[in-house]
Amino acid sequence: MGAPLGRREEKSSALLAIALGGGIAGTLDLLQACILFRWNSPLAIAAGLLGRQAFQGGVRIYVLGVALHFFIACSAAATYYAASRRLLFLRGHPLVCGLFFGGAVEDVMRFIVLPLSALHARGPYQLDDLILGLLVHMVVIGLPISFSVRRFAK
Amino acid sequence: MEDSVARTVGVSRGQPLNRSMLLAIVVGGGIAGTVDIVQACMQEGWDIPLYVAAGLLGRKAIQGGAGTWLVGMLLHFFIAFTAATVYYAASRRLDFLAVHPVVCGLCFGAAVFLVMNLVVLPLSALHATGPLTLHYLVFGIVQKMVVVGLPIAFSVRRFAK
Repeated sequence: MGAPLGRREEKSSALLAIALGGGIAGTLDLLQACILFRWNSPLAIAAGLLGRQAFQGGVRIYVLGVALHFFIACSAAATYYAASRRLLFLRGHPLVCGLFFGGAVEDVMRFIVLPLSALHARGPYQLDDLILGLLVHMVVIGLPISFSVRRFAK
Repeated sequence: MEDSVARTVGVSRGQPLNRSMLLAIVVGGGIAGTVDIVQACMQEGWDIPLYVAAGLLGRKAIQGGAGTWLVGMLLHFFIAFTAATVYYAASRRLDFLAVHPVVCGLCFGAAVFLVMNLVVLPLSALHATGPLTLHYLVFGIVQKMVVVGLPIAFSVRRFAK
């Protein structure tokens, strides 16, 4: 029921879903990484762009790392949103699809993006790191994005 | 209501077992298992089933004979049919698994690879606890997505009622 949404409203609901999903996912993920590893993890993210000299630090490099992190989180949310326009089940089953999406984000980041980044992180990988990374990102990245797209995207 | 209960457990009226269910699982698991083992043997050598058997019997199975080789083959197909059964069972509740076999099959294949390598193999008698190389992981995920995920998903779409 109700009048069909105008283009403007549709656009704003897309932005809301992406910003909220990406924002929550990015915040939770950054917090867990900082608590689990150390508070200078944003330097490691910046090093993916700038190379290993980013580890020397500085406020600007720290901010760049945080910005890159949220750029990636919002890109993930935008991907899920875009896919959910065609694949309606992404909105109908946010639990299953969110967990799978979080796992896919982890795999793409670890096995494609990080090896190609300026960090050249090409493994070999410890079993514990793989299991922990997969489980954490399934929950912390996948679920906020899928539920936010379900809730806010018209 | 009664119908939906019967469908969930895979039993339809007058038949002890649902034929379309069996067909979907046997064809899907059979194609996935066959292509996967042939691919692995062509790449790594025809003694690969011995390594599968070693997951149950321990490292000494690698020196095994024809009997051990057969155990490995049986185990391999048991796992393939189990994967097909999981996809079929999930598709009874999650309709989209039968409607979008490409997307869902590829995701399912990747999940099979990760569950096997991160859960089953470390717990098996091989105690394969890594570390794992990038090449092994990337090649394995892509291979299982195509070779295991797609046959199972398309067979459930084609045969399961």
